[in-house]
Amino acid sequence: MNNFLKLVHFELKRFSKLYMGLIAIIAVAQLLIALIIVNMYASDINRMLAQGKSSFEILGKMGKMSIGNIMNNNLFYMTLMVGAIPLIIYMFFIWYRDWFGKSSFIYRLLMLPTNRMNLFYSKAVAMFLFIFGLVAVQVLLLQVEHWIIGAIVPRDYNSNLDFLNLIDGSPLTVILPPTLEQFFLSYGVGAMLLVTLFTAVLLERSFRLRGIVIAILYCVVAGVVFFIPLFIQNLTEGYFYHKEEVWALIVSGLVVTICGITLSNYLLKRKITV
Amino acid sequence: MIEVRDIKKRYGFKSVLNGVSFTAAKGEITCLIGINGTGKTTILKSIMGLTPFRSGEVLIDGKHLDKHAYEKITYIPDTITMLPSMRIFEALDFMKDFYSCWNAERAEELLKFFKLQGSDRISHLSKGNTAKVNMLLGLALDVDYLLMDEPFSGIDIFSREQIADVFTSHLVENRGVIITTHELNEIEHLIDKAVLLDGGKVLKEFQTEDMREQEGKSVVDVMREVYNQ
Amino acid sequence: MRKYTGTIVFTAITVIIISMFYIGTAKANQNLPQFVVKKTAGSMDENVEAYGYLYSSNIQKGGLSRSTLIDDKESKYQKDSIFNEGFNSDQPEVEELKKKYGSFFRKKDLYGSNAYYEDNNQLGYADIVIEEEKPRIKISILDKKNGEITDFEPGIPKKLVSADFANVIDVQIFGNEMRVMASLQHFDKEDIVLFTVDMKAKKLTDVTELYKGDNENPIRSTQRMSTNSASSIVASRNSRSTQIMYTKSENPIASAKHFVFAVVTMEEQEVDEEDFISKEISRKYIDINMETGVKQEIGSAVLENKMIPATVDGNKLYAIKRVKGKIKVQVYDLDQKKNLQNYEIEWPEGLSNERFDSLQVSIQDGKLIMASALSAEIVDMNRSLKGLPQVLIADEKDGKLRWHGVVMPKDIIDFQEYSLSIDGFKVK
Repeated sequence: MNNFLKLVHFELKRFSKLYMGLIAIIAVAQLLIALIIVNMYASDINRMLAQGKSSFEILGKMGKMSIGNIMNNNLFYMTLMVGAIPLIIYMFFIWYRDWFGKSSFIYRLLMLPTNRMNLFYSKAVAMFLFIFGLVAVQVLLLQVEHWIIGAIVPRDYNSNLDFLNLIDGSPLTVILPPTLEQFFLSYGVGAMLLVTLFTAVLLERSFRLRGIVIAILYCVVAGVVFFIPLFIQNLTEGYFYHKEEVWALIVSGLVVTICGITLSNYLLKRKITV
Repeated sequence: MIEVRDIKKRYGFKSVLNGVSFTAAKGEITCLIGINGTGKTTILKSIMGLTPFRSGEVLIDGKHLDKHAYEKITYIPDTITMLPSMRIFEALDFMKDFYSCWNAERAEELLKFFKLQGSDRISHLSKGNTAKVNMLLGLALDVDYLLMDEPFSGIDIFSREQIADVFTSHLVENRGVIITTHELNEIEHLIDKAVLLDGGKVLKEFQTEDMREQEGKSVVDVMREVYNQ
Repeated sequence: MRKYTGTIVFTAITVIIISMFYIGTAKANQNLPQFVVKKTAGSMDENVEAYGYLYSSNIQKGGLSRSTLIDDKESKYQKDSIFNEGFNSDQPEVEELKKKYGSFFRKKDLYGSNAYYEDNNQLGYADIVIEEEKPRIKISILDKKNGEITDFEPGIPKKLVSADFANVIDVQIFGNEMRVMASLQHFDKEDIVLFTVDMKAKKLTDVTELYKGDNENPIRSTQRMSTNSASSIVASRNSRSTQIMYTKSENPIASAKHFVFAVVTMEEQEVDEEDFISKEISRKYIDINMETGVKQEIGSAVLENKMIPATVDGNKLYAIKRVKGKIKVQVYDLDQKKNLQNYEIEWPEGLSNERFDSLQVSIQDGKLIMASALSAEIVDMNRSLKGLPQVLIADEKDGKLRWHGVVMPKDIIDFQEYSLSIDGFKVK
């Protein structure tokens, strides 16, 4: 357990500089976009007031300002991508960086007096911490943007709706599902995907050229196994009730995850090659 | 004792190891000899579990490789096994963190001996100094067995002398060492056992002292005999 | 330990922030507004429940949407969980049955209660499959007494069916015969057909055409809704369209001897460039006796002028019309073909046109229930009762008012943030 935690700390530390940079970029970009959107709204209001329109008219045309205006904006969505894409790339790179480069740090990792699966788990946990870290940053940014609206938009035009209720229906539901239950389900699927991806990487690292083919096949098989309940639903014309379907998917998800971990364990112990 | 029994390995269709068997005893320096590409590095990696082999087995003090074995055996490859962005002291800290058999005092001693600074960044070091750091990482562990892969390749002559000195010092005493090289000059006099490899097989395995006393042959003599056939 | 502070702090902050977020959403869910059904008139002590959806307005896209069940004490909101099948207001009856007869409902279409039938002895289900090779009716019967399920699929002769799509409108079982009323759609033409199946022989014995759509007046929609919504659909070439509207019954699954539907032909006339007015050209009412399979037209000879059939109970047809703020009710016996009663019901607090148009009428236990499910968005600035969803219960024999209730917010809430849409009322 100790070694596992030490490895997690190690993984976090080695990516920390790039990670901080990423957070800074996202924060600055998002706050700028928020300021732009809010100011545009405010100036539109002022313009219409100067034209002599009543506030009733203006509200009828533009609606009150809420953080939804920001959350559903395309530019905002792009800042989410700015966070997501590097992390997705790092899901591969967190392994490959140990092989490539002048050094071969993978030698050291594989020669550590610890269960080799700790390498797997620590990288997985580190990835999740990176993801959740960005999610937490996003929550903070939303709060700040909420305050920005409060500071700039006149009270009558500010719906003051909390972002908690507004996330539903915006692209943010992907990273911040509306309920805790949904959170675990969504990120559970994410964990399954991560394990599958890691296993694919290890397949490639164990078998090299053949490994790429095997890795792709593995991903396809994993996907098929996961979706078996849906195939059954299709073939039997809807035998399952909705609740049963959900449970079946949870089970198939767990099966895929556990198989991935088992296979990775085997690969790391018996097939991996430097 | 490290026992290698009949290991076979293929890369694709090419057979690299064709049933390699030999032993290396604790307290002895065993040298794997062969031209480039005969699989010396592969044998060392196989012993360390860094590459799989198709059949055969490797026993270290009678046991198969497991995670505890890494506190008993270590491998010094020809590339540095630390992140180049690390400073030397960070690398030492890392080793201390994970290995209970890490000997911090010996590490400091070796640092002085190799004339390196803890604050040096590994990526800024010369090739010779990098090799020395690599060696330090291996030698400062209180392990029973050291595997070294081409410790002299591409190193300047002064560094080579320093490294050769290590072999005669207390740093290596009582440990089992397997070393690969294709340049025997520096250490022929240090080797206790020689294992001659070719075509993925062991052609000859012998104690150097016995060979000298009984047949009057040096290692190089035996090599000429065996490889010219 | 000191060197780990960075990691520990990072992990802790992340976990705390995300936890606080979810504590916040849980709290926000608890703060959903409370509505109650409040009795405003009448002597009867009834427990009336309203079911519908709460929406959060003022949001760019989507937003809050929760199913709600409102009784006289509180509003119950369904937990937003992926495991919930959802109490879909369209088929609370099916949900009830599913709890009792679980396995019967597998592989069946669960999104419409029209396809089901229930009486004391059995549960029935019919679904029509129009496929190139063999059009057929998929029938499933559960014998309640011994739990046996019988499945069979009588074929439909191909020449009778030139449709792409079939919708089951109602299923009834009388004796050994099952009647399946269905709408068959082909391009923009729609026919209403009654299939009769002999359950012993497991064969289709009769196909009766109840209404034939023609190319001149293509049907644009068949809706199961209240009696006389004035909404009309975009027209065809001739700018004429025909709409079929079914009288809604309280429980579509229960046994019902008569089925009444209206065929309304509208014409669209251009007023100016972008504006259209829909004018009703003709309207006729058709009643099908599901037991005998006989259809009859209910014309002006039977119904008073402008009377609209609202619901059918057994063999009694209830038609209504708005007269100066009151509702006039005519009760007509479809079997004996004679008028039974005529009476007037006064709607407390007045009856607007919109409210009349949105009335849903049903008969339950000798009570006439009229529900007006206007969305609570339509509230005037004083928030008077006029705009809120209401239910009126009267005696079906003489129309005497027994109960009137209003769905209103328990506390003062800002209506502009929410809109409440009521789908129906149930008398418990």
